[in-house]
Amino acid sequence: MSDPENKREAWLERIREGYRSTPPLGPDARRRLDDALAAEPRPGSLGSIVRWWLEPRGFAARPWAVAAAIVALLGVGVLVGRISSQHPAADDGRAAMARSGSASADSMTVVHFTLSAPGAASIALVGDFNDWDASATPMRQTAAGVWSVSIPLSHGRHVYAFVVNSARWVNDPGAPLAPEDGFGVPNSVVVVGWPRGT
Amino acid sequence: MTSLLRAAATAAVLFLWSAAGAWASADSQGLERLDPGTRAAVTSIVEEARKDALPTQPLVSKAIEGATKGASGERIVQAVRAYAEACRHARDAMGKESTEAEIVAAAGALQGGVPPDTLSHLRSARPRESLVVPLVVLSDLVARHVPVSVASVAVLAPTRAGAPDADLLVLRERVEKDIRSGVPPGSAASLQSRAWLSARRWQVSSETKNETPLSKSPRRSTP
Repeated sequence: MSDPENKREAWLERIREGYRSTPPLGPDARRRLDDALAAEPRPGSLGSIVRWWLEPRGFAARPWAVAAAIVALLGVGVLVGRISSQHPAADDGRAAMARSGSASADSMTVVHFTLSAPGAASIALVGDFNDWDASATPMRQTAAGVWSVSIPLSHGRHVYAFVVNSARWVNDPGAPLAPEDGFGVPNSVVVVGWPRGT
Repeated sequence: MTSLLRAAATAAVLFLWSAAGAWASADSQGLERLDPGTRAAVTSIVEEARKDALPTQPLVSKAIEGATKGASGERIVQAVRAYAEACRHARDAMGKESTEAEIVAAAGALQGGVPPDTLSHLRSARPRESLVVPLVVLSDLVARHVPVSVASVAVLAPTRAGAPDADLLVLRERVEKDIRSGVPPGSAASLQSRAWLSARRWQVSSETKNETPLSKSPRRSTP
């Protein structure tokens, strides 16, 4: 073994010896150690969780995984937004309508719409609940000249009309009228919920 | 465990961010049916209403309704603007505590010609209960050509006397039936409203008579 190698080996041996030997403990070492341990927050405690959120930290992630997560979450967010916009927010739902219906959920009621229109080839229900889309809620002929459809509506006031043969707008003869639609064609009003004070 | 927490925290933040963005833009859905100029004008009105904490979804729905009915862009913008203004006046008349459904129903009544004072009186008559049904009935009477002053009294008087929603809806149906059978609209509304008030007085009177001092403090029978 060459001289430099001997020196290096001796130096390493001194380091190893240092690790092997136990450092001398002071008289209150045990107490200080116990105190330090007691001061540490226990794993899972509120303090450690708060500290985890407050302390600055960095983390590594694969870029493709982050991109995929962002795309997925955006999709979920858009979906949530679309669903919420399709169902008008339920108001305090205190009103009533004199139509048939059965509660399907706390804020939704299945409402039955009918229209007598002998000779009609097609009738669609349109309103603020289906974005006035004439293809969204087609009605079915249940008896000679009587068309009907049942749909769940959120509690509150809704405005609607019927589209006969994809061309003629008519209101519901058995329902309250909305006074002014701004476009020259009257609408009907349905207030979904149960009568107040009965 | 830490990496799981990191992932969960990141996912939560991203989800909230994306959901909030989608939620904010949800009101504008459906406006793609409008031409770009009309859409921009309607969006501007909707944003203005949002700043004033007015209902925005009914405004969007009004624009979509106009597009579906084949109205011109100018007409749509005019209708949405008028509706927003009516909502603003309705809230002013009924108070800031009014619900969205009340504001929308009252806006319809105002557009039918009902004066704001009537809305304030209705609120005074029902300070804590919903005004949606009284407003729907009032709007319906006006739409059936009942003079506004008569329709206002016809709904206001029973509401002040504590008429429940169901009674107001029955009143509306009876007025409609009378009109169909040839009674002039004003007379029909006035008669039905008075009929309800008379029935109410009779009911109250009967209840008072039944609740005699005898029933409150029965006499002792003497042996």
